[in-house]
Amino acid sequence: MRRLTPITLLLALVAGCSLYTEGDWFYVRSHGADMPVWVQGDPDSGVFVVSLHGGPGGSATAFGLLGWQELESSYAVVYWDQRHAGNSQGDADPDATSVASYTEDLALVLDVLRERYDVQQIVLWGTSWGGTVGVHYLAAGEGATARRAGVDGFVFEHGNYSAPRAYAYSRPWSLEQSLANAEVESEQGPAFWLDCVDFYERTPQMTEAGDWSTHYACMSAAGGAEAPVENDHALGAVPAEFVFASPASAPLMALNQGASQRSESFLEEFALDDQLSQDMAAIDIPTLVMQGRFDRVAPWEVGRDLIEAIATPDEQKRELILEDSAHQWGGDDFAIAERAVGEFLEGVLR
Amino acid sequence: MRPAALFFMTTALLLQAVDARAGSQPTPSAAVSVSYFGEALTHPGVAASFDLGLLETSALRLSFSPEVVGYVHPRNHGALLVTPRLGARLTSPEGFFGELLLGAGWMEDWVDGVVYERGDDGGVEQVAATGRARFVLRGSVGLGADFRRIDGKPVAWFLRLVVLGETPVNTHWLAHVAVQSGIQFHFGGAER
Repeated sequence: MRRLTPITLLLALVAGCSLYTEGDWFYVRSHGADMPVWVQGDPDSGVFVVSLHGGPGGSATAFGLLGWQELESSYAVVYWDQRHAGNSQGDADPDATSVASYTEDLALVLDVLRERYDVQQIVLWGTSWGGTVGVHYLAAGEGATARRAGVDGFVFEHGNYSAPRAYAYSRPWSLEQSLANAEVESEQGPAFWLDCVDFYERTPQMTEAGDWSTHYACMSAAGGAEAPVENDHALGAVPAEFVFASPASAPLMALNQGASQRSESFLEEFALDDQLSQDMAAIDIPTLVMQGRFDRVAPWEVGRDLIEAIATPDEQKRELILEDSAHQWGGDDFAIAERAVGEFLEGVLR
Repeated sequence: MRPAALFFMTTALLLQAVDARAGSQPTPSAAVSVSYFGEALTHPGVAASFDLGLLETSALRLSFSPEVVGYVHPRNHGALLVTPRLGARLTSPEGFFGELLLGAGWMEDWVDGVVYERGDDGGVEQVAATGRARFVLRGSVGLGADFRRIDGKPVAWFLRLVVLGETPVNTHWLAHVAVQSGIQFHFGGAER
């Protein structure tokens, strides 16, 4: 038997990788952006759960490498990378992007799904920043009523829709942590924490786009995004095939990470505009809110405000606090959330 | 100064300097090469180049070598590159060499998949996955063996680590790496 050379093994790895063949993979093109859409699971179910990833600048297709596997056994799960995010290509300009751009792109994605498949029901699943995209799509601006009519359910997970509101809930904790950390030895040193204290004391409300970045730096250094309980869904041990034999491009994802947030005009809208807090009251479709108990990026109170404000009848809305999670998953919360979504879909779709 | 202008000006100056010295040097060889071009190692591609020796001594070889490369990253993108390069290769008496190649040129890449966009009537339509032109800078370091020194055959083997920088990608530069390995066939030139 001939010996296998490293080259042979590499080619076998690439040729045999199911990630290049499983599910449907296509692109939507909008205003200079070529955005990948990966449909996994069971399109024949007629039920399409559309993942709206976080960031801005995260990636649903990269998450789809692991994916919501339980849900995929019953429904089609759609992983869409937003403009200049994840594995999106083209030459889209973040300086020409507004929150409304994402609604326009999402409308195109949903119309393409309706064109390609026998779509019976659509559920939007907004994670973190994806919650903002979902709320904007469902409630903001002209055409929101018609857009809402084409969606059958909304999952708001680790979500946000208002940076000013998130800041208001997070600021007291972050200030307290900064004061405490300034008194003890820490990796950042006392000067860092004293700067944070100074920032929080003179900034009861954000007034400049850069305030969110400063807050995020202080809050995340204090551990406001990290789950207190070890995560059972660690992405740290990424299999080699994800790097060397998957549709994902690590350099592209690194380039796109936070691209929108490098745009001053976008960051200003993102950090200071609170309009969605009023608009969200128009949401009247079945809604599930899932927030981390220890999340200071998108505090659970933001989700509580959403569930209380929307027009959805009480029997069609549900709130789940993820008791071991912050902005990151903790403990068994990933599995708990997937089960909760499954139950929500059963309830919504029957 | 734009990177492309800087590259071509440097190329012109180097060619002029080499031309001035060429009369005192043995006739440099020319070569063609074919190689595997693995973007991110495993995204398969093929490269072919013509390599014109500009200056060749027993240890040093300077060359000008335009190259054409095509590769595919399945479901992500395909690409075609045309890049003139300048190369410097230092070869030991035993025939082993190290080399450096710098180049700049044109890159056309396109998404690998069906593309949809909004039609004029407000619906959606499938469109061709037309490519986008980029400016690309590339550099590579390599090693290999020149068999003209080893057993007299006019062949060399090389292995290179390539760094590509393309722009604009979402208005920025995108850097990625590739591994290239292939065979170079020499012809002409003085006996080495």
